[in-house]
Amino acid sequence: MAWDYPEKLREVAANPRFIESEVGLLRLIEGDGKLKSALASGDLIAAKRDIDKERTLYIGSYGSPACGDYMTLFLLVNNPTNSVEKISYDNYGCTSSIGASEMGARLIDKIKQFEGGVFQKREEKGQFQLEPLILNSGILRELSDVDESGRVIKSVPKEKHHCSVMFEQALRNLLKALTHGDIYGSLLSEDQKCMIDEVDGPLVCHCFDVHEKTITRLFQSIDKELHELMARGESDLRPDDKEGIVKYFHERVQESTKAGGACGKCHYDRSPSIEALILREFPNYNPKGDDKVVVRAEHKEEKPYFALPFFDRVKLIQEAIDTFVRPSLQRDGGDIELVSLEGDTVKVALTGACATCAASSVTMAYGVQQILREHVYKRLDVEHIG
Amino acid sequence: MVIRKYSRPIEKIVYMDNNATTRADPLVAEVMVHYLTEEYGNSESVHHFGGDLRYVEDDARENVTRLFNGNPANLYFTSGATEANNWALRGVMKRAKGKHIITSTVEHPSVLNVCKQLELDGYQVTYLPVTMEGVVELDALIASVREDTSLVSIMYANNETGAIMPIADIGNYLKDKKIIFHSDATQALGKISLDVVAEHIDLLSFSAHKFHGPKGIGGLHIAPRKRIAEGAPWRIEITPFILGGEQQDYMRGGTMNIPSIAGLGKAAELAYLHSGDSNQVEKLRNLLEQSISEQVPGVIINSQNARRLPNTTNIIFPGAEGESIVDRLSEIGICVSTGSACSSKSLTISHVLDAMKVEPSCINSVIRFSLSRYTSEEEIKYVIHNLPKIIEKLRNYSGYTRKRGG
Ligand SMILES: Cc1ncc(COP(=O)(O)O)c(C=O)c1O
Repeated sequence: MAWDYPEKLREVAANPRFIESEVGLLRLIEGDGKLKSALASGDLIAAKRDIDKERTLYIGSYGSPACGDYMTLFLLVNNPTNSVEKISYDNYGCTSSIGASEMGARLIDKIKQFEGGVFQKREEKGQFQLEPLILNSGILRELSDVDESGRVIKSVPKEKHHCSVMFEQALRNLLKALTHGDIYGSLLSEDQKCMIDEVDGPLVCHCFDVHEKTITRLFQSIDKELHELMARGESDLRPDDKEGIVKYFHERVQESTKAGGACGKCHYDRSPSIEALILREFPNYNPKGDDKVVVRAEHKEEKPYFALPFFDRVKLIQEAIDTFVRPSLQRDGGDIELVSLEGDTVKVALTGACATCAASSVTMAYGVQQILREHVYKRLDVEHIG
Repeated sequence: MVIRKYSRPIEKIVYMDNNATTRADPLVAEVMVHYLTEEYGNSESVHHFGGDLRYVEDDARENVTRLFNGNPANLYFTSGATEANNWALRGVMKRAKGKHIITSTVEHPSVLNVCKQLELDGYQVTYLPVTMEGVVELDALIASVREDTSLVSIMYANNETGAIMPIADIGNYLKDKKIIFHSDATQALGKISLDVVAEHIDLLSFSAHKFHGPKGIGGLHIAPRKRIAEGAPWRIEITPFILGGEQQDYMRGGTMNIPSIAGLGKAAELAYLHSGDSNQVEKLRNLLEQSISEQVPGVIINSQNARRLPNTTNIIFPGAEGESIVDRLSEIGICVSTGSACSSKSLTISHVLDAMKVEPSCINSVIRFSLSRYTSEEEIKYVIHNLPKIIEKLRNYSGYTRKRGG
C-alpha cells in the first residue's frame, strides 16, 4: 500500500546530509580489518575506537537486512569538550527509516553536546544507566508537517513507527560501547549478555530482537493515549475489558517495534510473553473480584486464558467440562471426552448414550461451546467429532 | 463523488505493475457504459428488454473460453479469482470422500488462506515446496499423493516471479485418477496460451482485470466429468459457494452483472486478437532485464531459468531496500511493486521468495516489473535512465557499495 508520508519526511529523506559514505568517518580507522568486516557482515552491535588523544569514534548498529532494515550510527566525539564533532550513518530501509536516521543525525548535529545532550547518565539501584535523549517520539515530531501555528497537520503513519525507531535503537546500542566496549552479535560475552539484559531486559521477540524494556518503555504513552481515546469516547474499549485492552496494547507495541510480527511465538510460548508483560505492568487493568470466572479463580496466577501456556489452557477447559458438562450428561447415561485443542477450536467426542444420537451431538457441541465461552474464554469454538 | 486525483501530482505515469491490475481497454469501457446506461435490464427478466441480454452472457462465455479451449456451457461468472478459488476449494472438499488436498507454498493468498481454513475444519493439506526457480516439481507432487487425496490445486503461473508451473505434466499424471485438478490461471490467462482439454485441468479460475478487463469479475470453468481410463466417466462434484437465486443453474447466485460480463467478454476477445503481442512484450521485458543487468552491478533475476510469463521480471537489488526503491520510482511516475516486509501492513516478507529460499539479506530488496501490451520501448528507456541512479543512491545510504569495496 502507498503510505501517506508528511512532506517534511519526504523532503528530509530525499536530501540526506549525513550519509557515512559521504562523511567518511570510517576513513579514520582505515586499517581496522576486524571492525570493517564485522560492519560488512552486520555482526557489529557496538564499538568504540580512540582516534587520537582527544577524539573517540563510537559506533552502534541495529537491525538486519533480513528483517527489512538496519542502521549504523557513527559519532566522532571530542572528549575534553564533550562535543560531537561529526556524525554519520548507514541506512538500509524504507523512506520512513531513512528520514528518521537523517532527522536524528540533524538533531545531534544541532545539539553537539555529548553527555547531557545526546544522552544522560541516570542512577538506578546504585548503577549508572546511559539513556539517550534523542528519542523516536521527538524524531517523529520533527518529521511531521505543521501549520503556521505549529500544530501537527500530518504525522508519520502509525504503521511506520517501527521503521523510524531504528535511530533510537542504534543510539542505545552505541551508548553500550561507552560502558562495555566492542560488542559483536556472534561473540557476545556472558558479561555483555548480562549487560544487555540489564539495559534492555530479557529478549522477548527473537525475530526482531526486541527486548523487554523496549516494550515496557512504550507502555506509558500507549496507556495515556488509550485513556485519552476512552475519555473522548473514541474507543469502544471499556475499562473492564481486560482482553480488549491487552489486545490494543499488543497491537500498538507491534506497530512500534515489530515485536510479535513474525513467528508469533512471543505471544504465548515464551517467557515473558508480550501479553504477560502488559498484564504485569498494568495490574490495575485486571478487574478484581471477578466472580464470574469460577474456574480461573482456582489458579493463583491471574493470567487470562489466552496468555496461558498450552497445557494450562487444556487444563482449564478440562476442568470446565468436568464441572459444568459431564455431570448432567452422566445422569443421562452418556459422557464427553476432550479430544484436542487446536488454536481456539476445542474438539470433543460424545460417548455412551449420547454418541448414537446424531441430532443431539450438534446441539451438545453448541451447548458445550456456550459453557466454555462463558467460563473459560469467549472466543472458543467447540466441534463434535463422531 | 468527485474523482480524486493522485495524492501527489505526477505528470507522467509509466505503469509496470500489470500483475497487480491492468488498465481496462477503452473498448471494454465503451461496452460497459452501453450496458449500464442503454441496455441495462436484468437478463433473468421475462420481458425482452432484460431477458434478451442473455446474448451478452453467451457472447462472453464464447470469447473467454476460447482463450483456454474451454466449453462455454461450463463457465460460471464470479466476482473474480478470489471467489473462484474459494469456490473451487470449498465446493470440491465439501463433497469429496478423501480429506486430503495438495497445493503449493507459492499460491496466492486466496488459495493458501482457504487451505488454512480447511485445515481448521479437519481437512489435511500438503503444501508442496518449490525449486529455487520457484517451480513446483511433478515428482514431489506424485510423492505426496495419498489414498485420500481429493484435490490438487496448483497455480498456472506465479504472480510475483512469473514462473510457469508444469501444469500439463500434472494434468497428465492426474488425468486417470479420481483426484480433481484445479489451477488458478489468473496470471496466465491472456498472457500465454493454455488448453484445459490438452492439459486436463478440471477447474480453472481467473480474473478479468488482469487482462485489461474490469475489476470485480472473473470466473470458474468447471469440467463436468473426467474420463478415467476404463469405466464410466467420473462426475466432478462441486457444491455452490454463493447461494442465491436461480442464476447460472443455481451454481452461483446473484443478479447477472451484465456490464462487467460484457467487459470481460470484450477484454477476452481483445486478448485473443492481441495474443501475437506477447512476443513484443517479451522483447521489452528482456531489454529491461538486460539493460538493468548491464547498468546495475550485482543484480539477481529470480526464476530466470524457469519458463516464465513474458511480461514479468522479479529482480533483487542487493543493498537497496525495496520500499525505498518503489517510493523513489513512484516520485517520478514509475509504478512497480516490491515483496519487501516494510511495504506490507503485516510486516511479513514475501512467502513466495521465502519458499524459493532467496537469501534473507536480499529478500527485502526485490522489485517486480510487470509489463503489458501498452508498455512502450520509450517507457522501458525511461526506467533504465532513472533506476540505476536511484539504486546507486540507496546503496550509498546503506554503505553497500563501500562494504563491497566499490
Ligand atoms: C495468482 C492470483 N490469483 C488470484 C488473484 C485474485 O484475483 P482477484 O483479486 O481479482 O480476485 C490474483 C490477483 O491478485 C492473483 O495474482
